[in-house]
Amino acid sequence: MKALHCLTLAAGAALLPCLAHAFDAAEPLDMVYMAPVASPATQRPNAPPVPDAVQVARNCTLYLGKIEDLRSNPGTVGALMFGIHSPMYVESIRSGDVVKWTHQALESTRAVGFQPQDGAAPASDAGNQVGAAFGLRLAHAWSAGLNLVSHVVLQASFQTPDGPVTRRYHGMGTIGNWNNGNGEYMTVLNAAMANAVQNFATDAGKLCTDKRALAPAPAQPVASTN
Amino acid sequence: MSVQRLLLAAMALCLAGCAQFHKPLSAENRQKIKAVDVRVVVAQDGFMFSATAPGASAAPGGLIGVLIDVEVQKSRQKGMAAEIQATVDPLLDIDFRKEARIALKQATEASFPLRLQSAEVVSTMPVQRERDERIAATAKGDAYMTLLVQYALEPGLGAFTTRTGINLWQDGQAERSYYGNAVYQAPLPAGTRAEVVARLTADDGRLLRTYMRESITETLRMVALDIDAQAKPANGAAEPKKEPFNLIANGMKATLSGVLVDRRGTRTIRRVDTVGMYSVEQGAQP
Repeated sequence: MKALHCLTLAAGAALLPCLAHAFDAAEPLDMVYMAPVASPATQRPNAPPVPDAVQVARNCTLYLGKIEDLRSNPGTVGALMFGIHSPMYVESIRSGDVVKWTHQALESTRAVGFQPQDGAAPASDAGNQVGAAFGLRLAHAWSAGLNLVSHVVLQASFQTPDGPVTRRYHGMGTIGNWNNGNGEYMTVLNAAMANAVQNFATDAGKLCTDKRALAPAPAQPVASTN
Repeated sequence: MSVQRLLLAAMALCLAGCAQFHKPLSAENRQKIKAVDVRVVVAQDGFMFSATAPGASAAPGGLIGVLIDVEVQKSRQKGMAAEIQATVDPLLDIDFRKEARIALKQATEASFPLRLQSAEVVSTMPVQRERDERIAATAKGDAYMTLLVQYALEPGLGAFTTRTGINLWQDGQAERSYYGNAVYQAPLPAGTRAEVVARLTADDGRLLRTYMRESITETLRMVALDIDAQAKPANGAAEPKKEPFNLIANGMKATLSGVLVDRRGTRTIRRVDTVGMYSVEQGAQP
C-alpha cells in the first residue's frame, strides 16, 4: 500500500517540471472575460437541441453602478502550490485589471435577457429595470491534483425602494490542467466568474418584475444553482 | 532553471521511495551563517477547498483518466457548492497575513537559533529572477530563508492545519543548505458544519485568528528546534525512540511515527525522519 502511495506521489511529482515550465509568473493574466464554451458532451447527435442560456429577464435594463476591487490582495488572483507534505514550490498568479474583467462579465448578462448599461438607475422603483453597485471580494485560482480550481465572490448592492440590498454571489470553476499555462488560469477564473454572474442574474431577474423580491438582510452567500 | 531542478529533484526523490523531504542544516553551514533574512510567504486569499473526495490522492492514469477526473471534480464541486460557499463566505473578511505578522514579530523579539537580519510576511511570491538574485546575494550577504505557508480547513472541518515548506540558501549556492516541512494541526470544536463555522468566525473570527497566529508561532518554534537539534554534534547516544501519533490528512485519520522533541501542555512537537516536524495536540488525537 505504501509503495502504491509512493507511486502515485511520484507520478504527480513527475508532472511538476512540465507544469512549472508552462506558467510564467512574471506575466500578469490579461483579465479578459470570455464566457465558458458549453461542453460538446451536452449536445449529443440525434438528441433534441440543447437550449440556449435560460432567459432570466426580458429586455430588462441592468444599470451597472460603480465596480470596486475589494479583494484583500489586489495584486494576485491565486497561487500555484506544489509539494507532498507542504508547499515546497509556490508561484503567485499576478492579475491585470479586475474591474474591467468584472464589467465585461456583467455585460455578458445580455445573453440572459438584460440590457446592461453603465450608470446608476434613474429611479429605483421604475419597472423592468434594476440597478446595482458591485465589489469583487475574491478571485482565486489554484491547482488541485490534475485540475485547476477557482473561486470568485461578487458582491452586489441593489437599489430597491426599501434601500440598498447587498448580496454576495459565489462562483466556482474546475478545468483539466493540460499544460499549466497562464491562459488556463484565466479560463478557470472565467468559469468561476460566469457561475457567480449567473447566480447574480437570477436575483437581478426577479427584481426586474418585483422590486421587493429580495428582502433587505445582511449579506448572505447564494448557493450555486447550476 | 533552479525551480525545475528543485522539482526534478522532488520527482527523483519520490521515485526513490519517498526518501527525503528534509535536509538538516549541518554544523558547518550553521557556523557560516552570520544573519538571515526570513520571508514568510502567505500566497492564499481564501481557504482552497477542492472537491476531492476524502482520502483520494490521485486521478486514474492516462488521458481517459484525466478526463474522467475533471468531470468527477466538476460534479462533486456542484454538489459541494453550497457547503463550500457557506464555509468561505463568513471568512471573507479574515486577513490571512495579519496573524502571521504578529507571530513573526513576537518571534523576532524572542530567541531564534539564527540571528534575524529581517523578517517579513509577504502576500506575493517574488518572481524567479528576483529569487535567483536574492539567492546569489547570499554569497556576500545574509542567508535567505523562505517559509511557504498554506492554511487549510480539513474536509469535514475536523481540524485546522498549517503546512509550511522551509528552504534556506547561503553562501551564494543555488543548492539549499536546509529544507524541511513543518505541519501544525489543531482539532476544531465538534459540531455541525454550521456550528463549527459559527464558532470560528464569531467575534471577528477570533478563534480562527488564534489558530492562525499559534500555527505560525509553532512553525517558527519547529524550525528553531530542527535547526538547533541538527546543529548539535552526534554524541553517540542511542537512537531516540519513535512513537506513533495521529493527525488528519485530507479529511482522513493518518498515523505517523516520530520522535518526541518538545512538549508544552498537551501540544507536542515530533520529528518524522525524512519529512520534518509536526506540532499536534496530544490530548486530542483523532
